[in-house]
Amino acid sequence: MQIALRGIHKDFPRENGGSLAVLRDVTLTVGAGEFCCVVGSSGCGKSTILNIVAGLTLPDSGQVLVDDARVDSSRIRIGYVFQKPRLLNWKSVRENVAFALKASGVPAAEARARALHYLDLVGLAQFEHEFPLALSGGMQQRVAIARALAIEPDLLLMDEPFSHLDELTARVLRAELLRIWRQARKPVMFVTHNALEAVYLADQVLILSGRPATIMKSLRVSLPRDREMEDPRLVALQREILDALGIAGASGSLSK
Amino acid sequence: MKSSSSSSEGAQGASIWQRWPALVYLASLSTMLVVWHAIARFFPPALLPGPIPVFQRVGGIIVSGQFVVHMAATMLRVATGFLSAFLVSIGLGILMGVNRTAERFFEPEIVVGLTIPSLAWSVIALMWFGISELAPIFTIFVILQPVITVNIWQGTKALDHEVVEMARAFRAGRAMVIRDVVIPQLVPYLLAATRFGLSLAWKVTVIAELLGLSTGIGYMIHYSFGIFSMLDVFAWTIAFTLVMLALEYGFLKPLETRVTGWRRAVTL
Repeated sequence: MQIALRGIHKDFPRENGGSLAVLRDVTLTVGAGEFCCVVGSSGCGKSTILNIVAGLTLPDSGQVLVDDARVDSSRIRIGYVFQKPRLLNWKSVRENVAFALKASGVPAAEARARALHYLDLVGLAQFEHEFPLALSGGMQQRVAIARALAIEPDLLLMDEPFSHLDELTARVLRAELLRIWRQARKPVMFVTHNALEAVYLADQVLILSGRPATIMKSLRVSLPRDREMEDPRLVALQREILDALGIAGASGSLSK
Repeated sequence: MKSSSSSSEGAQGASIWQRWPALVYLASLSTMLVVWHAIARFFPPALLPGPIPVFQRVGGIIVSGQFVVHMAATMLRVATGFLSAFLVSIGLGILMGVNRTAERFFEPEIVVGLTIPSLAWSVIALMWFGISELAPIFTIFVILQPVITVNIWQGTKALDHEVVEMARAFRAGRAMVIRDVVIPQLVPYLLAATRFGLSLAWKVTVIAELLGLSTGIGYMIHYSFGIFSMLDVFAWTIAFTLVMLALEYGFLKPLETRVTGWRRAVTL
């Protein structure tokens, strides 16, 4: 399955009556099984792109195309990992994952069985009965990842999922994410402001300009998998992204 | 959620008072009774009867069956008035929480409602409906409705929209969003509204009964006043209070603990 955005425009109304131009002519294609990272500075409209793909926000103009046809984006199965875990704190960890499964039409009994399987995949099977608030931030985010993967999505959307985590946890989760993605081979749209993270993960990196956002540059990362974050070729690509974003001499500081 | 963590930390080195919080409550109640008993010795029983005769009289009115009759009458009024106010408030509170125009329209009604003294409502209801069951029920309704509505209105405004958006992203239907995402967030506010609303309803009912009815706890307190029996005033008041306490500690508190258990989390 391939996802394409064609000429997406989006303005948000402002409190004072005017409007804020957020997206201008955003056009991109995420190929079947491709890992695509969208990089841009904070608040430039990256999350809005994901929300439009997910059908949570309607674009003012432009189209979301699934396999070249204009498909109602609510027809495809989307796994969404947000910046914050956004768990239902009053449900157990397992019920949180099962919630997404039930929402996508899986019968309750099967949902609970599959939930446990995916919790196991992110290493949290023994915490199935805990409430989310009993877990650390990193563990909560893993539950959110398990929830998104459990529905076996046609498309995985991730909105800076590791930006609130410490770098050690983030590294472990990035490697796990790649391992799972290589098995499932579903397209991923991954939004981040971390250029090194983007080149480590992606097949394709799209660089957004500041607001209103448009795609300034597209970059292919053809390095073989099982990449090392310290690989000089990745660092060089990161430099290229930072240059495009207009950040001079900051290659170290943005890599976290 | 943080405040509860201290109870587990202090478990080993804790004194007997920390290990058995029930003992503290018991000690508190005993102290009250002892102080009451001590003070009562200095006054004639017609002005301040001691705890022993009062509890004997409590036993008396329970055994004679009088208490059950009047308690049931009061309970029925409280339940009817409370439930009708609760149902209207849920609808109105949620409407005010989601709709800005509705919020502006009903806000003055809430403020006016909160301001009018409950005694005034009791008198007005009696003059309108006469000596009937409608008078106390109406009084409870008009006094509780703004109070409960405020709670539910605030609860609706405090809803976490991020998890609602999450549910929508995962294609949860409207019924599922309401059942699994919205209502659990409102539960703490509904419980607070229940506890506060019920305690207010008792007081209001007793006033309404005292003013013009011929059954109920309030009537019996008034009757005891008529025959100038302080012992009966105390006995009826205390028997009534005991039922309220049983309801609070036997039902509402455990319910709250159960429903909001997920908040008591230990952070790893």
